[in-house]
Parts: sequence; structure tokens; C-alpha cells
Amino acid sequence: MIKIILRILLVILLVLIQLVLFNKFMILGVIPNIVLILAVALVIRSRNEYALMIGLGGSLLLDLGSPLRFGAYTLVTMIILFLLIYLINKYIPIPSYFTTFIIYLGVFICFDLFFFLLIKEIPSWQLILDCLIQSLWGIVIFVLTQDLIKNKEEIEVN
Amino acid sequence: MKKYRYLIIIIIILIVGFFIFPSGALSPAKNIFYKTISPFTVAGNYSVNGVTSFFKNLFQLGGIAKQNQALITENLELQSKLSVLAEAQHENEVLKKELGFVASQNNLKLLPATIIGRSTTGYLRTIVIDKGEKDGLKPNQAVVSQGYLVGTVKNVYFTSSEITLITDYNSLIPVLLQSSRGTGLLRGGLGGLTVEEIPLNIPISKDEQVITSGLGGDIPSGILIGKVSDVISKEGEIFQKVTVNSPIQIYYLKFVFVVI
Repeated sequence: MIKIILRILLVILLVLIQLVLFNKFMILGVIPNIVLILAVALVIRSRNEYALMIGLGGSLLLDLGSPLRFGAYTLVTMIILFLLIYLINKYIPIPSYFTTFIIYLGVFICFDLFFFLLIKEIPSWQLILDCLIQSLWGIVIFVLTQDLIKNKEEIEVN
Repeated sequence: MKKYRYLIIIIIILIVGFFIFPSGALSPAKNIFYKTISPFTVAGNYSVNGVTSFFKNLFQLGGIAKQNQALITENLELQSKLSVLAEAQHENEVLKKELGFVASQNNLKLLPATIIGRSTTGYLRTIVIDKGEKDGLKPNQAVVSQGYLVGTVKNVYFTSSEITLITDYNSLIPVLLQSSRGTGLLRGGLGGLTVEEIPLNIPISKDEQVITSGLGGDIPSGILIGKVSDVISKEGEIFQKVTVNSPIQIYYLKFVFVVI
């Protein structure tokens, strides 16, 4: 039970960090999507259960603070996470930093395309800029959390 | 199955929420959410903004000095114009009274509100304020800052409201170009602020003021929006299109005023 409460608190903390702190780090109109970035980092490190928990819980809370229809944000996040889990399990077992950057780029291109579809706007140059900046944030957070989130295989070997 | 119990519960919440959202049944939940995060956001506004603005100012010091000089010159020019305008306004008011007009702008009531939330993505330009239904807010009311229009009220909850900023892709406001008297629609979006559907026969001049036209009835007329920065319509188009610059750094505001 304590484990579950701790997990819920972690998700709430993450959402608070996104809403309070990361909203201020807007570079060229791009706000880092910390929930998706962290969830993808967990998928890359084969921690799928935690990734889905953060992806689902985090985006559900962010949905409450979003002007879009409730569930839209979560739906897009979950589709991307499930797709990523399938692809990583099947094709990229141990990604390098470069592959990680490409994964982030791909994830954010999909996410942004879904988003443009939701807001019914034609994708513009902003999409490329957004995906590149988000991917750079992704790499930074991936490296920073390296010691915190160990690869599942590494733990099993130890 | 037991392992996925919580996942299933969340998915059920998601599906139920998705379908009941249009009915407004989620409004109390949204209101509670905004109320919960508001102390953190306000605290964040002060602490993080302080640090970021310090570094921002440090990098822009050279530019600020030049800008300051330009502003001093502009200020002196404006002061001289102001004295002329004050006379004109006095004369205008006397004439209006004589004619029995009521100056509509004087009837505007401004309600101060603190920003307690911002959109989580750069594509959506929305903010959340700490005033709602209990303070008399209604959808489509104008939201201003420093005398400039910054957005309109979108969704009203009991103690909070969502504001669509004029820079949002969803924003569409009837406006008037003050000198040329051309009317058009102010549109937000990723490309910045633009005024579209201005008739071709209107001679638009650069730097002329853009104000709300009051058409539609929701937003009072005469609220400043910004200045025309460029005419971007192409040959062969049946309407003119201009880009608009607002002097307000909308996304970094801490307080706004709702016109009620």
C-alpha cells in the first residue's frame, strides 16, 4: 500500500514540476514535456511498468489542466508509449545516446502530429523546432537520471 | 488481473471523463485541481520568474540601454502629444455631455485576477486565473493587462477560469485599425498575431494602433491590442492581412484584469 501511495505522490510531484517549474523554461515557444520525456526514458531502460504508470497518471492529471477535451492528452501519450514499448522490445534492445535522441525525435514528431490533429491546425516549422528542443531536453534528462533509473538488464546481472 | 487493477480503474476514469466532458460535469474536478495547484504556481511565479528575469536581464543589458534611450525620447514626444490630447479630450467630453452621450469606456469595471496556471504545451496559449463564477465572471469577457487586451474568458468554474490568450490558435477577435478605420479579425496562432479580412480599399499604414471593434457584443470597443508591424497580404487576394505586435509579454504575466 505504501508503495502505491509513494508512486501516486511521485506522479503528482512530477505534474507539479511540469506545471510550476518547467512551464517557465519555455525556449522559442517550446515547453519541455517532462512527463513524456521521463516516461520515454523509462521505456528505453526497460522499466515499462513505471513508464506506463507515469505516462497514464501524469497525463491524466495534465488533462485536467488542459483546455482540450478530457482524455485527449492521455490517449495520445498512451498510444505513443505502447507503440514505443513494442518497437524497443522488438528492434532496439540497448539504445545508444544517438539512438535515444532519434527515439525522442520520433516520439515527439508523433506526439506533435497527433496534437496538430487535435487542435485542427496544419503542422508548421514550429513542429520541427519543438521536436528538436524536446529531444535535446530528453537527452539531458535521460543522462541526468542515468544513475536513478538503472537498466532492468543491469539490475538482473548484478 | 490483480496487477492491472489500478490501470483498469484509471482507464475507466479516462473513458467516463472523455464522454462526460462536454456536459461540463468535470468542472468541479477541474476547479479543485486549479485550486490545489494555485499556491505552488503563485510561489513558482515569484521564485522562478525572479531567477529567470535576472539572467534574462543580464544577457540583454546592452539592448536594454539602447531601448531605454529610445523610450526616453519616445516618452518626451508622447508627453507633448498628451498635453494636446488632454485638451482635445476635455473639449470632447464637454461636447459629449452636451449631446447626451455616455462614454462607454467609463462603464468598464476591471476585476484583478492572479494567474494560477498555464498551458502545458507551447501550442496552446491559455492561462488559468483565480477568479470564477462566484466573482461574476462569464465566458467571452475580455481580459486586459496594462490597458492591452491579452485574452478572453473561455471556461468559467466556481473559483477559477480558463483564459484563451489572443496568441492562441483558437482566438478570433473583431478589431479595428484606428487610423485607417479598417475592420478585420484578429487571429492568434503559431505564426503570431495577424489581422485578416481587411477590405482591399483600406490604406493601411505601418505602426497604426489596433483596437477592439466591439462587434459581436462580448468585448467592449476601444481596447488596445498592439500596432501593425507589417502588411503580409499577397497580390490577387481579396482581403488584406497584417501582422500585429503587442507590447505585452503575455506569457510572462502574473496578474491580469477581467473586464466585467
